[in-house]
Amino acid sequence: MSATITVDLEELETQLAGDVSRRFDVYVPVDENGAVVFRRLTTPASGWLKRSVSLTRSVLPANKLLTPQTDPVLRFQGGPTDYEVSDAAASTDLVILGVKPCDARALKLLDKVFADESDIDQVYVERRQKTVLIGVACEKPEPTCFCKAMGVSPWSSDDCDLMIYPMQGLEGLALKCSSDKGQAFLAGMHLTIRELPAETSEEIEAHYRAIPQPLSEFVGHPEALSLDSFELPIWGRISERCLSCGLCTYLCPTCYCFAVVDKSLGERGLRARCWDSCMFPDFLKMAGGHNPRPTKKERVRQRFMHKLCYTHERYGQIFCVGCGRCVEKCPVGLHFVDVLSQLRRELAGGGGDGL
Amino acid sequence: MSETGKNPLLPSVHTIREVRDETDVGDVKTFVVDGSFDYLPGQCAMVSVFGVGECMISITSSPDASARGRYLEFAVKKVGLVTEALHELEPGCKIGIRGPYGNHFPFEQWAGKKLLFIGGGIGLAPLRSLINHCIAHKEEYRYGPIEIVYGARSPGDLCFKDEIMGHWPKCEDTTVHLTVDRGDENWKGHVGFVPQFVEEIAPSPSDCVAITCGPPIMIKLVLETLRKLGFEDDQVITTLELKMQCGIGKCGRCNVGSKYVCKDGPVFSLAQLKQLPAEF
Ligand SMILES: Cc1cc2nc3c(=O)[nH]c(=O)nc-3n(C[C@H](O)[C@H](O)[C@H](O)COP(=O)(O)OP(=O)(O)OC[C@H]3O[C@@H](n4cnc5c(N)ncnc54)[C@H](O)[C@@H]3O)c2cc1C
Ligand code: SF4
Ligand code: FES
Repeated sequence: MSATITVDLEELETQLAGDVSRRFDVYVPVDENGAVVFRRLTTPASGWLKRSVSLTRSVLPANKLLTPQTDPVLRFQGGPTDYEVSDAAASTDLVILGVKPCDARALKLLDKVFADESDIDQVYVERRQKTVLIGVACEKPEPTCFCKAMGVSPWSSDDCDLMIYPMQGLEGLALKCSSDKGQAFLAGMHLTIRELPAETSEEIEAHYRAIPQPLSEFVGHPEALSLDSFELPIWGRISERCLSCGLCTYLCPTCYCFAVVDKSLGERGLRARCWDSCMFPDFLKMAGGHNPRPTKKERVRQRFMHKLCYTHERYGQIFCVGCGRCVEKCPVGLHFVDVLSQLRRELAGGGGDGL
Repeated sequence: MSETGKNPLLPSVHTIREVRDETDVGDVKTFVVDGSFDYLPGQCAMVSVFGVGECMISITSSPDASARGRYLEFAVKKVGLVTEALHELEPGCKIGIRGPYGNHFPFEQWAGKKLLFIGGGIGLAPLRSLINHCIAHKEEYRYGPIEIVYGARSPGDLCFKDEIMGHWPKCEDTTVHLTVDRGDENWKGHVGFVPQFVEEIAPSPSDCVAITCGPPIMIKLVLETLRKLGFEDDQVITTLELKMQCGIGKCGRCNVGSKYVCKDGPVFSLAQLKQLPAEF
């Protein structure tokens, strides 16, 4: 791990908007009418960097930029006897600035699915290799954040290439390099760099460590579920109020289910990966009508068992990073924290009905 | 933007060489397509009609025949969007194929054993690849006698007639038992459901492996029959069918517990199935 440094904010801003934007697609969080969304940096107004690093978590996780909602697989043209098919999967040199540590951790988890198993998804792997992640330490967690409970440190640079500490009272912007890729990227910008003394570096970490995250304390440290939990009565009880809207899965940084969809217009067409959700009633419905998860009970159970049991069995990890988006956005409050606390009560033999 | 060049969902384009009607009502067709790749019996491929979509289909040709003739065969039952579009296609048309996917029947582990194949309807498609492979390598793997039980709704619904009535019964040490749910004026064979037929034939479980494939209700009852006949869970092999999108364990569609049917299956022993949550 390298030392914490400071750079000049304006110098960095100029580099990112100038030379870096010519070499990379640079995405940064922006506030659009109260919603934080990642947008390509094109013609930014001065002062954008300071604004970007001070924003709260984005509506959609930053890591979705690597697995977009509609992701072309192939294009074709012609008729049934003379199709011409071309590869439409693409990757680009990408810089994502302003990634929160929870979303960065989510990418580490997705690596297990797409990059560590025997059938590697080369499209994902190549995108991952070509992406520079510039994280930002969390200055103001949302009341719904519980990443600490899920083992994420909201100041940790571990899952990013570079980390920004937008703390007040320092001369310049504090940065830390945490990978070779980050090091090379930083060197390529030729900034004036000032190394901070070790004590200041510790002060910075202490500052972030001290920022309270009350929900994490409530959640504690959840353990993985065993397969026995499949039969618990909780699933039938809690799923009644689910609307099957799928919001929870679309907002979740560790959800990755997709469908493969064809669209054609005359003799031309496109096949694409498109986000899908296990919360939708037809997700598993087969020709002939058989549906192994016919009711909300099986679908809600799938969502929580997948993250708390199946991924743990398969990849050794619980697939939740505590970003709090489902807690904030589920229209009926059927979210991770509620379910975790009910599960805890039920496993302790108590039953129960909510927070 | 640059092309990655290693897109796992990109199919190769194959030309249909021949289309065969398997059933009288025309709901099952076998497609013979040009070109082959290495695979093992039980493995599947994503077959696609451009502009309509993809579906997972077992490779019904045997690996030896495919390699020799440089073709792949798929028997497809018309049930929905993609399969209907496939049925519209004629020789000369092009389709997309990517694979092979999934595990295979563990035929290497059956040396010295009697083999009992039990199929229903289109479920014979994956078994056909395996049966032809086992017959071709019977000496090499020192298999014992081979018994095949196959049934369909009516005589006109029996698939692969050349093999079930012609080739297989002529092979050494190989017996074929056919049955139909409903006979017709020309049918002289057995009438009745597959599970009951197996019970009547009463194969002995000693040194035997039973491999079954068919509609879910048939599989369920066949498993019950085999249990009654004294087969242990690790002597019974079957396949699971779940909705699939990617075929490579990435799209999150086909999990049963922590297993992906497309990657860790579709072939499972009954002993393995009993370790999984009952959600298929
Ligand atoms: C491992 C495996 C092997 C198979 N082998 C064969 C075979 O050899 N011959 C054969 O005729 N059929 C086989 N099937 C079933 C075949 O995949 C479905 O009948 C087919 O996908 C239906 O697609 P459709 O577009 O015509 O139907 P639609 O209902 O219009 O399908 C819509 C969507 O659902 C999916 N889908 C629907 N039903 C199924 C299903 N039963 N299984 C998987 N996905 C489904 C389709 O892929 C498609 O994405 C197999 C299925 C699996 C999982
Ligand atoms: S749990 Fe909530 S967000 Fe998810 S599908 Fe149900 S109602 Fe929608
Ligand atoms: S079909 Fe995508 S995970 Fe099995």
